[in-house]
Amino acid sequence: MGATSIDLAMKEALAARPDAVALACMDTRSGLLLGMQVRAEAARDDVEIAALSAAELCSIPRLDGTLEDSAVDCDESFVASSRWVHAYARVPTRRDLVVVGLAPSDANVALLRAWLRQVAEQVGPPA
Amino acid sequence: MSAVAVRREIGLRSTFDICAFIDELGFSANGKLCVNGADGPRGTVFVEGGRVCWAAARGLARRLSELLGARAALAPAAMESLFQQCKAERIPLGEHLVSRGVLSAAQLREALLQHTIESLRHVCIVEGRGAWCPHPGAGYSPRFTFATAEVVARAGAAEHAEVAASVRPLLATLFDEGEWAAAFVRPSGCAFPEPVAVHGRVPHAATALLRMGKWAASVLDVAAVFSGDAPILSVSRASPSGDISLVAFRHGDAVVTGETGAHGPARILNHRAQQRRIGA
Repeated sequence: MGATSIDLAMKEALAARPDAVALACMDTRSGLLLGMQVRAEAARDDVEIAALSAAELCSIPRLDGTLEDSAVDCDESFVASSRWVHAYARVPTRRDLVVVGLAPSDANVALLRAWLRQVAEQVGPPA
Repeated sequence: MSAVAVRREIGLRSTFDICAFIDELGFSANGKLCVNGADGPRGTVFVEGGRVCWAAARGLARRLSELLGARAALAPAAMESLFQQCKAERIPLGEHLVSRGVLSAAQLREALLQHTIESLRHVCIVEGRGAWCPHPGAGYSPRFTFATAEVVARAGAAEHAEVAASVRPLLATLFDEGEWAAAFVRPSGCAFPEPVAVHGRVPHAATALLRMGKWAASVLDVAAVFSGDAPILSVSRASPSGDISLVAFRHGDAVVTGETGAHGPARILNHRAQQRRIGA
């Protein structure tokens, strides 16, 4: 799926979800932002920074007793603050791609995450 | 990790340095780490199965007896008499007190840990050189030995008592049985966060615990740039026993991280919302 079709998929997904205010797709391997859809109430810069942070926020350190400082990629994460909830979901068929969704802090976190999981499935190439 | 079977030497500046050295030896390491300074031998750390059994520091020879005596509520003369008896018969004093019912096992463990922390701090007052001398295990009871993570957390708690006291109840409230959590502080001028409190079965190795602290501090810094105040990060990973979330958030001056179940992040968010309502 190219950047244009990713943008299109995200545009449709965001239009169908009134409580979400932004969606972005980040290629964590190349460090490129592949697409971003933002409603008026969200600051583009903040969404961009959140997307650029996907590689760090969607991984954890190894806990298996090894002495290396390497990280393990995880499927999902979210950041909740008093203003926003940022949810992250890895694209199942392209693990280097991470979709980021943004909603106000009063949004239902579980529903936002479930929706973002679906968006990640739509954005990726077929298995 | 594999056990080191040869004598090695290394520079040591802190309790964490000593614990990191023991971690590197692996879980089957048995032996003693002898620390020497410019003024001669400073102390010895005894290790069995990669765990710290106890530490002895020059100048603190009678400290363990004091700690045990205080907990057993024995008069100094009675304690001295028991000490001399155990010394003559080559019986470990602490375990003798437990077997006589003068001290509980928990009290002995607490005294041994405090003694170890004080000894390690004393050993590291000035930078020393450590020499690792492997030898067969002496058969210390594992329940009276300490994971290196527990040692560094206890040392941090002694150093930052106020933060440790404020965060400990929070860890017990937010993390259920079977889950674990740790709180860290980042003192100015220190390159890495120091653990000050632990809850549940934290990673055994001090190096692994510290890795978690570094991760939590780092991701919270990253998240704070775009998310506003006091973010909570939750990262999910699949495990054979179901979904596990690794969480990170701040509580006052402490950075808290821990492993929790599928409902853990919601529990933390609810607790936060309640606290905000109470404070409002």
